[in-house]
Amino acid sequence: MPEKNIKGEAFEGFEEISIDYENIDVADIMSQIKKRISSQQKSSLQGEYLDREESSLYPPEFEAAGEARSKIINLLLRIMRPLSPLIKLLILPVYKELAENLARTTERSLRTKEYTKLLHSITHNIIVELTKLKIEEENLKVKTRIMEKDLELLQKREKALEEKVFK
Amino acid sequence: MKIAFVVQRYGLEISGGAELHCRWIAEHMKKYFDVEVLTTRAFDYITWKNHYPRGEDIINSIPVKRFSVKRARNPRKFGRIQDYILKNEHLKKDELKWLEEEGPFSPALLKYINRHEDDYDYFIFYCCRYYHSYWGINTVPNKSILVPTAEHDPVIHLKIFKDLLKKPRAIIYLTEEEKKMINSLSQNQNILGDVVGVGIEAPSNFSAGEFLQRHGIKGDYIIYIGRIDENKGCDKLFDYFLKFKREKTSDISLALVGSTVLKIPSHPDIFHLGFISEEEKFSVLDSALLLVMPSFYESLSIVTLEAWALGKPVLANARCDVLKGHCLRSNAGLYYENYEEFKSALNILLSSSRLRKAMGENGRQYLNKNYTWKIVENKFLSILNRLEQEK
Repeated sequence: MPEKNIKGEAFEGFEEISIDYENIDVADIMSQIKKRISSQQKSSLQGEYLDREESSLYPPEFEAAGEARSKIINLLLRIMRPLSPLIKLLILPVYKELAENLARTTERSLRTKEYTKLLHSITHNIIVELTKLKIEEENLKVKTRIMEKDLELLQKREKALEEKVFK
Repeated sequence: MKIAFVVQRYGLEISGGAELHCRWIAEHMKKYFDVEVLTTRAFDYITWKNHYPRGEDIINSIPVKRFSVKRARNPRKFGRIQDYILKNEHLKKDELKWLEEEGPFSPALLKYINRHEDDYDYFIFYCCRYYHSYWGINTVPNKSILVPTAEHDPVIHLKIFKDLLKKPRAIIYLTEEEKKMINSLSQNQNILGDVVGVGIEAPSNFSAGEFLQRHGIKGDYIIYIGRIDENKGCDKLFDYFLKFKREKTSDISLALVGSTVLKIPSHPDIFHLGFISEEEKFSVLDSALLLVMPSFYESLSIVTLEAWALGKPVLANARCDVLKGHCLRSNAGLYYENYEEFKSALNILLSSSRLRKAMGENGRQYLNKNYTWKIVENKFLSILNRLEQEK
């Protein structure tokens, strides 16, 4: 029976991977890892998208503060509403947002760099394969030409023999 | 029966995979046959410059005849020619020119084989991609056995090799993947051949404590053993390991064993132990949590088998068919194609001692089933018997 990770040996962040320790199947473990990575990548992309949308609607700090807002603060805020853009600008920890954006951009650029490397490798392999195919094609062409010439020669010989036989 | 092993380099100090395989097999075949080694005077595999004295030598009670390399390889010229033949349409003579430049260019060795063909029953040629094997097999095709040690290298697709692989009487493969690749490349299924590999024996008594202390290694570590080279995927290994360390709070270190041609990043958790003795190698491997093999090109990977002999799991590069094949057949190692997979597989292996133990045990069983000297010797003997029967 496949055993779920036993207590005390849980793989950090890999709770969903199950291993039958009596009968280890590397292909199965690898397919679980691959599945997990692809689902993680999908969810991280979705999460990123939602985060971006939400953050544009409600600044998280402002929203959190709203929960604890007392009536007095609400009143004060209502009075100060015309000045709220200015207050927001002064009290929001802008640097935090900047730092988060910077981290996100760095991560994205790293990912792009990896993609570029992969693309480069793929392009290189395609070029090598195409070159090989081209060489193969040229060789086949040459062979066909030689065979055509052989055939021509054989036809000529055939004619000459026929002429000699039927004379 | 007299058998000659023909190999590009030979010596106790030479640790290259094919050369080591040749020496081990020759030493084991000594029990059954009159064995001799025909080789060059080269030590350096990049230039093949003459290093050993000319003439006869005896290494571990096996007579070794060394022949001069007439012209050392010019790496720049060789690179230019290789670049040309891989990227342009070319003729057979261009490929032969490449082969001559690759070397080891030793006409004296071939002359000897030609003149003394009758003195030997079989010539076992090592490494199909070198000059001595190509011309040697063409000189004595009816007495030749080839150990191709072929990898997924673009040059293996050259026309000269397609033809060469159809000429020997028998072919000895190191792995199933190599056999499959060569069969599909040259359609030589009709030639007698078997996957033989090599026998692995790990020493039983060793202790790494003092050695590790001397090198300042404390705590758990993973290990890489081999040439520290870009071709072996070490640059990627460094990138992945450093990224792993940045992302995870792990105390794990990376120990590197072997000579280096690559700049090793300066990091407190990366240790370079340099070139060490066999005993020291086994002791540091035994104390490691696992062996990491980032290589793209392997024809057998003796060190992977040695790790399994010690019951250590392996984390291998999946882009190398041989390593991936070993892991899948043995169920004794995980593999990766990119950083995400590296991170996940390493995490899983590091967090479960039970998994490491179970995989290590699988590795031991895989080794006992396929890579003991008894099995390897029997396979060799059976090939030679069949050749004798066909005579």
